[in-house]
Amino acid sequence: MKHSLSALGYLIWKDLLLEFRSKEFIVSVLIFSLLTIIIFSQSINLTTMNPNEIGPAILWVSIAFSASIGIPKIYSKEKEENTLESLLITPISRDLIFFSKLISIFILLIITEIIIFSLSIILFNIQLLNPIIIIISLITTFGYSTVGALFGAMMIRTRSSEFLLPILFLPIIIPLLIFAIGSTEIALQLNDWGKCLPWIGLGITYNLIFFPISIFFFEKIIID
Amino acid sequence: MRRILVLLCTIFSIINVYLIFKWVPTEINQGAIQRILYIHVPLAWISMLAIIILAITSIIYLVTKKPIWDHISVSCAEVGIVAAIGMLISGIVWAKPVWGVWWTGEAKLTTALILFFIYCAYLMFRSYFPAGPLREKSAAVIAIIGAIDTPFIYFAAQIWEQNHPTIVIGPLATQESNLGGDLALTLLFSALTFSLIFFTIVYLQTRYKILEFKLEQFQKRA
Repeated sequence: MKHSLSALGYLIWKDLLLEFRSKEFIVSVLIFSLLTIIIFSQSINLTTMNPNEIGPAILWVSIAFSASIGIPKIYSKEKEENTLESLLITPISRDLIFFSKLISIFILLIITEIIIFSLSIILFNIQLLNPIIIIISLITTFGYSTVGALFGAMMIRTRSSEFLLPILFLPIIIPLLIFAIGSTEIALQLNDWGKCLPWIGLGITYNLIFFPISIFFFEKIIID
Repeated sequence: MRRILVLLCTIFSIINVYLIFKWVPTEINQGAIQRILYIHVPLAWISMLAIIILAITSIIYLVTKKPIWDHISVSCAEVGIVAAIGMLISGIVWAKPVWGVWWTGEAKLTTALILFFIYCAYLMFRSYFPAGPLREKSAAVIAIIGAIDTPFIYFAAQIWEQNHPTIVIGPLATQESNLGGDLALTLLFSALTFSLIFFTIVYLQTRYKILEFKLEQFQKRA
């Protein structure tokens, strides 16, 4: 158990260190989502619309689009350096490799979300610093990371990963996207835990279904 | 077998056309446009059935690794995507005169569209990924994950409780929206006909894919 945890820690550290050196994921995700938010905010007249209704949709759609662009970057190093084979022959469980990718994607998405949320507060004038919204973000980001870690692994052996991943990733995360938009909208307008609970239940159910499935299938798709 | 299935499909289709356009009475509230129900619902049924069979055959493929199950999976996806397109088009055509709009952002419609995109993702993945056992395994995983979205589609009307007509036939039907005897019979016969056509096309496609696979193996050996 202790050995597994330290191995997991090293794997996550490796991914994060590589990312902080290259900054490929954070820069691409951040710039793309900011561009999407700014394009939306410029094309919609925010003075005539309720920002509490339109803001969550723009925010979560931009994060979903940019996550689909960023996730292949987490695996691109393994592909370029052929390090996946080395990882697979090390005496550690394959589940740990999946967990490390999931946690790395989760941490990096949370970092970018903090920046995007801060800018959205300025651009849309919406109150995102709310405990309900923080919980919604954690549930949504965990779902994105789970599905992303599985599909990202699938894409290692194809050259069209940056084109194929959004096609696979986006339809599968749409229930989660609906949850994130719907619950954020309620949280902004009513700030009521009771009204958000059915939505939060939906988000948690999604994660409870997809998390074990992703762990189970990871090994099958990673070994040729 | 092949000829019997094609003959059965032809006979059932002729009876089905007669039932839909001649035998069944016109519904009082919606008029003639309601007859699209007998096409739309069976197509929706086929698109759901195809993803369920696709998931089951994908699971069997992952367990047994026998290529036949992968051939059946691809055939199901190919027929499923055609049924999904048909379901979406017939739904759009029906919605305009009944609801006054071609499309709404309602949950059941959106999730039906997601199903279509899942079929697209499955088939596109297969065509872009290098051929080999890993492609088949990964495609099987995509199919299983995609099929998990299917309950979201079927129960979306119950989960999100929005302004879509409730289920009209079957165990979840409400008493108010139940179809009358003749209408229900026509719908059931149409569903049966479409199911028969679905199984026939899947059978023929699978047969073709097995022959193609055998030819590839032969060419590799030669």
